[in-house]
Amino acid sequence: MAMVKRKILVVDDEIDFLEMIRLRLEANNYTVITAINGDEALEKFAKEKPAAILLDILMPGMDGIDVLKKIRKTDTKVPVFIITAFSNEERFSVANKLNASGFIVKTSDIQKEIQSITSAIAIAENFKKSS
Amino acid sequence: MRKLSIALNLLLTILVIVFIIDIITNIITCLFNLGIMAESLVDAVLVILLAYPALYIFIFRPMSDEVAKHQKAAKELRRLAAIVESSDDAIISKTLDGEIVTWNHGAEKVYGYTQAEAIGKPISIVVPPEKKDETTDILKKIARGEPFEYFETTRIRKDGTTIYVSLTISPIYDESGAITGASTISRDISERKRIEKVKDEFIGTVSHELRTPLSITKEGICLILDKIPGAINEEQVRILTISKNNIDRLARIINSLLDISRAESGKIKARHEAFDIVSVVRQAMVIFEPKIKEKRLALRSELPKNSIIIHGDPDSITQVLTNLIGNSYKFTDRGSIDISIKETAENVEISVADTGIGIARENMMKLFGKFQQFGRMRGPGEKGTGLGLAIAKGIVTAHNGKIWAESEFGKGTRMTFTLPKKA
Repeated sequence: MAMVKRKILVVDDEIDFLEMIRLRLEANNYTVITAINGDEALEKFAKEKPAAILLDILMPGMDGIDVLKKIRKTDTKVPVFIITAFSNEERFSVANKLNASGFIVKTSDIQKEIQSITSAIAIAENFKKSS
Repeated sequence: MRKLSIALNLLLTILVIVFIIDIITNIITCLFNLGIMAESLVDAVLVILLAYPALYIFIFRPMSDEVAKHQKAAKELRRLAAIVESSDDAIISKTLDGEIVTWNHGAEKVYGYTQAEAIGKPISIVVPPEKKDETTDILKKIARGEPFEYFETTRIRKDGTTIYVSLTISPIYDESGAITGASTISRDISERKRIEKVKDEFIGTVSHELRTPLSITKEGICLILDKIPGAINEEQVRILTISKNNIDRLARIINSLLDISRAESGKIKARHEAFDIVSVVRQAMVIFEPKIKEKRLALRSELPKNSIIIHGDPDSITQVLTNLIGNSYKFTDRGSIDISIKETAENVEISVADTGIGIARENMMKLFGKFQQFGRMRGPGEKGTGLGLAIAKGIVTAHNGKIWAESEFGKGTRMTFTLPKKA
């Protein structure tokens, strides 16, 4: 059976960071769509219907929390992983309320973070299929 | 000996006075006999002459002594008043009910109220509403004669602005030794607080801004090391691994700086929960156990069987333990690491002792400073940041505890910290 590449949307205002994440995810057999701000993220989310979203919290203009709020209005299930440079408990609790699936802390090993994300996506997909 | 000389002196004085009186009496008698002086005048002069020594000893001398004493006291008072008045610090005295009694020029500058506006008013005019209990508690403590240590708090100026002040409060005693009021020296530390805040924000922002490019650089190297863009040779792997390890090191320094900034700005206190210190110590030991055993060191512990609940941030305390046990592990090649908890009436005392290389006497003073590393040329392994003990001290201090080191060079080190049982 041919593996269908899953689409993942990565949103971050740091273009270089996007590039690194793209390379890492493609190596993990994902098709990567990128967005550098909230508006672009919402537009690509509606158009591409990705299997999951990696979303930076701190962005100029519409920040990650606002993007997540808007996404949750139309889709309550898509796994959203919050990218953050450092822990900020208040934002974490907001993100948790909006049903974020997890966090990627920028300074930790991105390779390891991606591994846990890919397995989380797989679990979410299996859950979707079985429910 | 001294008494004898006083007695002799007195005797001599009396003799001289008697002699002088005798001469004057003779002169007056002569004047009277010659018909120059009237009899009544002679009597008056004789009475005054005879009474003077008694008047001098019992009235005039004590009076002039008293005047001199008062003059000296007044001079001393003026000198002290000048010191109080010239001080930039607010020096205030108040009754035990909190009524302002004195208010110096410094107080006018710090709080904005003039002397006339402040004296007679309650001290609460400068206390923010949410801190009213603070002054009541202070005055109660002072009335009980309990010492009051220096502390920092906020106050309100006449114009409504909030200022940060440091306070030193002492009791005022009357002649009988009873406490009648309190004197407060307060200093406006708003500027220092502002600079501290700017510094914290600066460290926070810089650290945050550094982390993103750092993570990008690291991920780039990791992608190549994982051979995602293509194959690389062994030498390329070796060089990139060194680069990656040093990026990790830089990341550790940045994280440590953030930790210090957090500890020093008192943000650690913000997380305040009840937790069992014994189980926190046990968990920290579990993390190190495999590494310590691998190094063939004995890990021993003396922990109470019961739990001891204290208040604070368990994650920060774990970090203190990790830093201390980590140091012992790093600097001990033979022997043991001993961890113990002792409980006193007010504190919990946690010790980490090792049989490692110890700390040279000249380095003991610098031990808790930032970027201090001793014995770092210890071959391979993770390089430290030199911030571990500075962070530990910051965290322990933020919990109102104390931390200290005892060490004998070449024999081992014992690090101990205390945490108060009551929050």
